[in-house]
Amino acid sequence: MITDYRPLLPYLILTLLAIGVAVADTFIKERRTPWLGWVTTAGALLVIAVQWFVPGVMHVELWNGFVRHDAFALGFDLVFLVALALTSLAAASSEHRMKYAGEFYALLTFSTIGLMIVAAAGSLLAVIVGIELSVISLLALSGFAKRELRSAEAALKLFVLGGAASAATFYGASIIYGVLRTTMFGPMSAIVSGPMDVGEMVALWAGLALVLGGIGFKISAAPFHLWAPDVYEGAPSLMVAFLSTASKAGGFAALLRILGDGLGPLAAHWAPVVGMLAALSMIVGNFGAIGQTNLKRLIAYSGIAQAGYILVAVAGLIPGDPSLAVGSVIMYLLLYAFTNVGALLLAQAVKEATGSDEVSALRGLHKRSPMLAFAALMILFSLGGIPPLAGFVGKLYLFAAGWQGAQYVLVVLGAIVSVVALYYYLMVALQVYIRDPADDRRLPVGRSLAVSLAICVIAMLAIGIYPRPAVLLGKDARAGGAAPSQRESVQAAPGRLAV
Amino acid sequence: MTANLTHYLALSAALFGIGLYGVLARRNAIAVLMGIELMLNAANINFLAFWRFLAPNSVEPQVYVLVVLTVAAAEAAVGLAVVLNVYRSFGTVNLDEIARLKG
Amino acid sequence: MISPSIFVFAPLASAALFTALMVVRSRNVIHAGYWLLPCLLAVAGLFGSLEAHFFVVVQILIYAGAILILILFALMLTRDVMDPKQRQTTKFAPLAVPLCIFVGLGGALMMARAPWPAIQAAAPGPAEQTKALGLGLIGDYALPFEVASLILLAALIGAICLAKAEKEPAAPEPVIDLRGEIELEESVSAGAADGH
Repeated sequence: MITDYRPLLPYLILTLLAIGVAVADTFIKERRTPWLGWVTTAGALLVIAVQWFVPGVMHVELWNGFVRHDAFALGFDLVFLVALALTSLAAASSEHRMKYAGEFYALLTFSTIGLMIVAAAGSLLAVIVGIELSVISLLALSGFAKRELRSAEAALKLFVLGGAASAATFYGASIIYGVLRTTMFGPMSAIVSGPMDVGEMVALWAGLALVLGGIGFKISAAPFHLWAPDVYEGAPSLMVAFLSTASKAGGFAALLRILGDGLGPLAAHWAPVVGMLAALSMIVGNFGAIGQTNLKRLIAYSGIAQAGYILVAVAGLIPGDPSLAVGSVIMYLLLYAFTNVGALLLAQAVKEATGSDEVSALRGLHKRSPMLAFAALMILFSLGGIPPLAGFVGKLYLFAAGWQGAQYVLVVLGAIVSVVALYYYLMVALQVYIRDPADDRRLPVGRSLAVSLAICVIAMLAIGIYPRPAVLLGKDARAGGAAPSQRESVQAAPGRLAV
Repeated sequence: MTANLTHYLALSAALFGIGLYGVLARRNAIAVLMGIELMLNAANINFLAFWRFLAPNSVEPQVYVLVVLTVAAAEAAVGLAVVLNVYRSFGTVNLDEIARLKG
Repeated sequence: MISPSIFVFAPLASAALFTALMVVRSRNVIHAGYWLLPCLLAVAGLFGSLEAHFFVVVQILIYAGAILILILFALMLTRDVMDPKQRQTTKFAPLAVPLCIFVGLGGALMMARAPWPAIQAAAPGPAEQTKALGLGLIGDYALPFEVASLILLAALIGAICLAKAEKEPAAPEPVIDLRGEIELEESVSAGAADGH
């Protein structure tokens, strides 16, 4: 039972925010000022402030460890909330053209709540309900551009594949429950560190494989990536901005919670599997991206490759000393939130102005909109991992974590395919800066979207040049082994805000 | 003669396989949804069988079953809205005829 | 412990499997929907044989009552494009058969071989187990319960937005969604929507 309700404050604020914007939308007749988008942004920032500065909200365990508000959750929540704030700020620019603006923000916020529960999960049950809340909201959002056939098709693909993935996850969870008779991570880890029968082990692995399949779908790791290019291309760009960053981060939170917290003692068994996913994702993503002519499909394949890089660090997780692996994952996801939201905002801006999201629509962008072209260059460099941008430091930390965990082959493979990645990122940069535009008219960009994009670029540069706060953000976040004692985590507590 | 845990587990595995076939092989999106429902039912049989035979005093598997039911209902509602939306735009609900996005 | 009799289990199990097969094999999708009803009822019967009394009722109410009706509605609304004479399977179907037989039989075999402990405890009676579940949902499992309500709310909002038919805009300026683009195909889709 709960007697102190402060830890629930973030969830309550977000729930009220979601219901509030959905209801307020029905009363808004005049859409000149995009209040709903601004209010959602402010709400996300408020929750960040509450989590960092209101005592008693974080660093507690609720319901006997069913939910853990530790540094791990704090780090991941920052990623989700940043993505929510950036996305809704940018959406304010096109709010007057949205038919269901209130519902759009409400569903984004619901999805954020689900992801926050995943990050704070102390039990497989909490992970699963969180993921389902997020998936169902995003499923509805992917079909929101109703007048576009491609959006309807994207929603259908997400529905069929996502539904099958979640059914498999539930079935896997049932097997895991049967073998261990609990799905709380603490007891799970205690049971699997003891002796286990071969038959039990096989059943546990079958269950885990199904659950990992569901999570692999969520982070769009190969071979569970097939939905990503189609959904990214068809769904509304603003929703994809959230899907490709926050939702992917939620998948990694689930992965680290289950593998690190719950099944840490079996690391020697699951690390090769994660490593295989990492290698496959890096290869499929990077080679798939070559020759893509659609900007959003390119971003989708690049996202598959990025999931592969992050999985290198996950595979290198050392259960006794997870701080480097977990820290590097959180840091990378944070900078990836800025980078990839930026990339999708770019796609959105170009699409709004030219009606196309082909790479060729970027041709000669530097003449049509120098600021947008600069943002595009920074984003491409950060995705490609070119110093001094954030992507470089982030990738360095990921590979360092992989190296520490003795995943040498993966790190070398990652370094090699990163060079391949440079090729297609630079091909886009070439279009932006070298080629001449088809027409010279200035490219109009919405004000809120421009602000959001500017924040993304500044954050990318800031993390790249001075990464210390972002690195410290993940330092205290430990998954694996025992949960940190309460006193210990309070010391590592508030006042240390990254970025 | 009594039925024991393995009977139920074997049944649920078979049901899961049948549901998976529905998901992989059917063209019609609504038929695929029915396959997904069969898979979810298989999970529920598992949870309740484990509850009955291994931990009859635990609440956790029952909560799982409730969550599965909720998700099934929510997924059906959103999914069928998606299907109706596709039907209005494409005039079909067959998955392989809806391919404007290059795969 | 009084285990469920095999004479209760066997008919229910074979009914569930047979009807499930009919669901995925029926050429006519409407028939598949009808076959789903006995299948869900057989599963409810299996819950009963497991003495999960509460879930017998829930299964009938939610699955057979609500979800199935929803599916049948969707089938009716889209019935004019469903021709049973058409091919009903994708090109993966020949591959899916062995895969699914492998998953079903392999899974069943694996589950049968795992060394499950034999715990001889009686299940709590209907009143006790429902009470325990209710207390759990406001106690240790309050979070999944609350999140489940959010899932339903999100699904409600999302489904309404998606399913609501787009009216042809009365305003001189067309209402454009999210990405501010009207595609050429739109006139086609509007025409298709008018037809119904």
